[in-house]
Amino acid sequence: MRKELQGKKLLSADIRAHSVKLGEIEALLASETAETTARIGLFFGPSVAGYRAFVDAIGLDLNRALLAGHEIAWNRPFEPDERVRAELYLTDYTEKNGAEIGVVEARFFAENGEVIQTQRTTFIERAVR
Amino acid sequence: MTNKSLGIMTREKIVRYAGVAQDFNPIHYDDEFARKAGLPSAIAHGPLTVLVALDALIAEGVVGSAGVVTTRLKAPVTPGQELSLRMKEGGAFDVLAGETEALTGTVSSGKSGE
Repeated sequence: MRKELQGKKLLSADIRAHSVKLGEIEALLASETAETTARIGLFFGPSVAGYRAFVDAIGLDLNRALLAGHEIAWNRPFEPDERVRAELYLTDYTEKNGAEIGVVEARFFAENGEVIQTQRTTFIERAVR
Repeated sequence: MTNKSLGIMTREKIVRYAGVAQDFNPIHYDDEFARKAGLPSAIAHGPLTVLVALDALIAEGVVGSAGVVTTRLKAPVTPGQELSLRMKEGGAFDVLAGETEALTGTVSSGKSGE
């Protein structure tokens, strides 16, 4: 993990809450509440610009990386097909017993600047053996 | 405390989620690759387990159009495992994969900061 990026923006992307992808999540969940859930859980912050772009930007070693935690704070669901600006930051970085712990914050904005959702994702890179 | 079945984590769900998330890490579909990484088999994406939990929380009515769900992933979920939601006091919850705590978390409704 590139600890020198702590506090800095990793990536940004102009994306869309595609109705097709919403439908795919609804089909996956196949529940009465799937439509609402899809509009909240549509994006996984770190992969909004493509998972590879995120891995390269933060310098994550996938052989040692674990997803340890994920938080979603939403002010409203995404609207189908609305345009969204996503920004990713490495907001926290710590080392413990050789392991590295990073917190990535993804902020999702509507076109008018409204914050729709914020996600905080914690990754652990296990110590090199 | 209440328990609610969330169904089986199937390979179909994992493959569908890989397509949505564009996350084709072989650890999620290649058993041999996953075993070399020390896992029992391919595992579900962590965010997929979070998504299933979120859907259950919405179905339970504990959260809706605005809220915060905070989770900690404790153990991998493998295909074929039955998931269940265990609601606890004060908005705390667990997702069990079989008998194992796969995820633990808290939920609150309303806009962040409220």
